[in-house]
Amino acid sequence: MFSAIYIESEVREHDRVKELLERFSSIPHIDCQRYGEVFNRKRQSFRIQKKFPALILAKKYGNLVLPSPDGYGFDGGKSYYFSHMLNCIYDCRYCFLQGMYRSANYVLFVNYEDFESQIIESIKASDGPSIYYSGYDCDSLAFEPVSKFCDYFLPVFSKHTSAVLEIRTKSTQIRSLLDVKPLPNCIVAMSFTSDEASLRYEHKVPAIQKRIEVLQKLQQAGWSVALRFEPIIWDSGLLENYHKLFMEIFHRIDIDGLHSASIGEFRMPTSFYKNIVKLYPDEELFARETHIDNGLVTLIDKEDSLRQLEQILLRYIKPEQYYRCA
Amino acid sequence: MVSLQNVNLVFAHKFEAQAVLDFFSLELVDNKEFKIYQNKNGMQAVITGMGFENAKSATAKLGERTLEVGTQNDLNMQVAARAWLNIGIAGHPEADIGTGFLASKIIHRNSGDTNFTVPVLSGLENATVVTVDKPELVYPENAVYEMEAAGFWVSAIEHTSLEFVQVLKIVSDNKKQSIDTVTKELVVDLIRGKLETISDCCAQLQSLVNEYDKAYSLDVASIEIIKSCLESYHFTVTQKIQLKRLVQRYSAIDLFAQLRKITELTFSSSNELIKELSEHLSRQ
Repeated sequence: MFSAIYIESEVREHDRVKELLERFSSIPHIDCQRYGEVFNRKRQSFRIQKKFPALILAKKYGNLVLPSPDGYGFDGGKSYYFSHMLNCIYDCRYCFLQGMYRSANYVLFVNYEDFESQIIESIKASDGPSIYYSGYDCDSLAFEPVSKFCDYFLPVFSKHTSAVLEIRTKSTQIRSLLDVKPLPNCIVAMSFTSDEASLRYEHKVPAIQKRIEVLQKLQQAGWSVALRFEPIIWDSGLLENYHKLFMEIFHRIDIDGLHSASIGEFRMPTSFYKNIVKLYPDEELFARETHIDNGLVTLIDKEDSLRQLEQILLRYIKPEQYYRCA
Repeated sequence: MVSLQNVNLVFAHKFEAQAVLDFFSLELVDNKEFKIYQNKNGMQAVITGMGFENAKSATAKLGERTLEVGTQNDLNMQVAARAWLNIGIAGHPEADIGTGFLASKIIHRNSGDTNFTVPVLSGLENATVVTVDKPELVYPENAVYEMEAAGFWVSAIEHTSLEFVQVLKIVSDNKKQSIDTVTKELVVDLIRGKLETISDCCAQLQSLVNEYDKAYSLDVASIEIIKSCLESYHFTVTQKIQLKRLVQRYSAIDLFAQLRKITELTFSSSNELIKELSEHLSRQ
């Protein structure tokens, strides 16, 4: 699973670390001072490292809970995100993380207690409801068997019902959710692209059918689920492909019980995009015509497909269930 | 002969190198500052002499030579990355004589600098390698002690991606069998006994380098088109880079036939050619 485990000296004696080291005892354990020594170095190849990812166990200092980017999520109060992990076990070619980090290693910040403190502080400081997104710099659920993220954070949110936790994922690792009583203030938001896009760009990601099955199971168990259709990557068969996807999903899930559905086009900061072009110069996606606006790169959509796609989606869901991801 | 053309080997001493030089049919090609060896396929080796500074200088020299013999080219159209492997004997407090270790961490005791290799090789145990200025007699930590790896690292990483710089050490002395017992014959035998392991490490590195080169090199047809354009028009450095990226994009989008058609037309300047190539893409 990992080529090695790096351990920051600060967390060497942390119980969570000890447990992981014992569990993965056959993998090389390498001590370091700070995770940046390994993670932030120049001259690394994200592309090569993706074949040999190591796990870095570290402590996160400061900025543990941050305001989420404008348009990232649904309305419902002030929104924040927190990243207990950097990088993802999947290898989606469109992912901005490839351009954001120099290393493909997974960094797991094990000081969950500090995240908890800041989340609670933020909840208390919020005048009204607040939303907390997990899965911005990683896929929290996909790493659940290692991180035990849900085991720790679900009880935190169960005590603070004015705050909503959204776990954004493509994972089918839902045992930790099914094992506990559903939290009304937790949403499992499953990301989808069309079957064609998924086969082309989403490497190591569970099949669409499996993800739909997971949504069904979660709904049956009483969990609130949401759908995130992004990134939308323009294609000649785009509308037809997504129509097919919508039919598959909406014929199998309980639409009335759906928390929300959103659509977001392919977009990322220009600097990340430039890094990814260097990383994958042979990739068709990054050879396309792009549009740069306000530091964000998007693909040029001559057909206004996004609006048409929204119209198709709105045949299945109520307008109040929909938002466009900016 | 086993040949792994994109691998550079770095040894401190001729005794450490001899069996490997024979195994890979590496022949002396430069005897001036450092002894440099090469085989017919392009694999190279250097004998650095003892210590951090020698390892640093000789590795840098081999890196410069690699550039001089033309493995890099204008516009980097044919990427030819090289992997670097430092091989040598070392001390360890407990490990049996003949045990092989891959460095996971390299500490230069004198400066305190610590560096981490990227764990891309399999088949051997990993260990911290401590580079010392004098032979270590006490072995204070559970680590591998030697005198060159840190110097090798500093220079090798200047020439390639970190994943391709690795260190393989074979235990020649420990607390039971001191460094005084290390003879020329023992060194030759220890390395000879690990030839299969060394070859396997080189093969793993070569395989990764091949994958890297394939990902970043242009195909033959693209290179021919670029060369033809460069012969027909004058390009500034920036324009050359633009042209290369445009050719990559046409290739990635599967518009190669159209690229060929456009480049066969006559333009008043390189600028006009680039403009047409760009505009044609945006019209797709």
